[in-house]
Amino acid sequence: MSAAFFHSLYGLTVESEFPLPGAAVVPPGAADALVRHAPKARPILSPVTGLFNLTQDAGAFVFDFPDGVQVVVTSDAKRIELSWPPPFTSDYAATYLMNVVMSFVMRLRGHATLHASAVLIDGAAIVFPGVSGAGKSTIAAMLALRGFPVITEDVTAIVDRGTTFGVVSGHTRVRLWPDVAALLFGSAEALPLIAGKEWKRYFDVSDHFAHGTFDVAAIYSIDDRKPRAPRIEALESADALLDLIAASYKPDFQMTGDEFDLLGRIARHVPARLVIPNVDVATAAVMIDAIVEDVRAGRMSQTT
Amino acid sequence: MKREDRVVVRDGVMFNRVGEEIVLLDLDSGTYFGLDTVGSRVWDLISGDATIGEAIDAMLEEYDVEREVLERDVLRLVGELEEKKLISGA
Repeated sequence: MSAAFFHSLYGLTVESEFPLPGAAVVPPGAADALVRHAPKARPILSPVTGLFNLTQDAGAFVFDFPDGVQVVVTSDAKRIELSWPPPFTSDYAATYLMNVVMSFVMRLRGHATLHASAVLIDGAAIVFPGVSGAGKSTIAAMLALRGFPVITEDVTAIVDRGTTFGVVSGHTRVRLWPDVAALLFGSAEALPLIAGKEWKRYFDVSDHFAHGTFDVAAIYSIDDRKPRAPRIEALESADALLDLIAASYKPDFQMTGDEFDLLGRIARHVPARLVIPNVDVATAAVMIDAIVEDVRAGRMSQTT
Repeated sequence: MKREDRVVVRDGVMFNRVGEEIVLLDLDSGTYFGLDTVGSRVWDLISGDATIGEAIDAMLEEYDVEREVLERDVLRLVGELEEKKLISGA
């Protein structure tokens, strides 16, 4: 029998044949999902274009990535098989699992997922949705450097309770572009690469990580960068819904009517603010000051 | 489309009311569209039984606006919704 590694990932207990870098290690127990190495990949049904191809094959969903890594997810989202060509390793293949595939797994299990990071600020779970490159990871990393625990980065899976909502912890590797890594740590090389040279680097936030499920206190949607910024503004509920739709996983993952309904309820029930970053990334520290101050002011107004 | 036309909301198009505004989403294409308060009132009327002209008449009773201005704005919105394939003519 092969070794088994137990991890907590997006609220699931995952039993894997190999370690999943960045996923919290937990004691052996009943697994919600199994991760296995498939020695042989399934035939690729269509040429891989873009970041990945997602196809259906014999009751399973198949992700094919441009470098030959393949991930197969059963339709009940309880078994995930990874295969990778030489010279790649399980660590390399698992990088695909941690964000894009797990987002899909969580959706199959009934959770809406957003392109968003989430951080605990004074105990309040703040969700930062944004399109690719908006600065979700930068905000998470900078808040972690100030001691605020990161809940998740890039993928935020929502727990739907009707009129309140939870967010589950993801993994501890905050992925950063080289320029952001250089800004925060002096040089990009100060952080390890996620995988190949062309990939982002990662900041391990194990020391500032929040395990569990947390009530969403507020949405801070990240806007386009502007010259007269950084600043925080009010965000109307309808605009918050538009931003949540933009930050949902698409177009590869088609949104369902239930997810649209959920996003609408989030927009109606969760306070929303707009974060406008400056075009100059060097002003990021000022933006973080503004976010923390704004969150604290909002918390104060709720309790007085 | 013209004043006497009725519109049909296309299959797969859902709407979500948030406060006094409405957000439309085409589940098939992923196209989404936000309507302001006035646009949301237009949507309520034309996605019901009203023709475009009847919607304009109803709104003239509700808003302090010139008929010509309202008619132009409503027809422009309807055209935009049609272009985005969120509605079609009945």
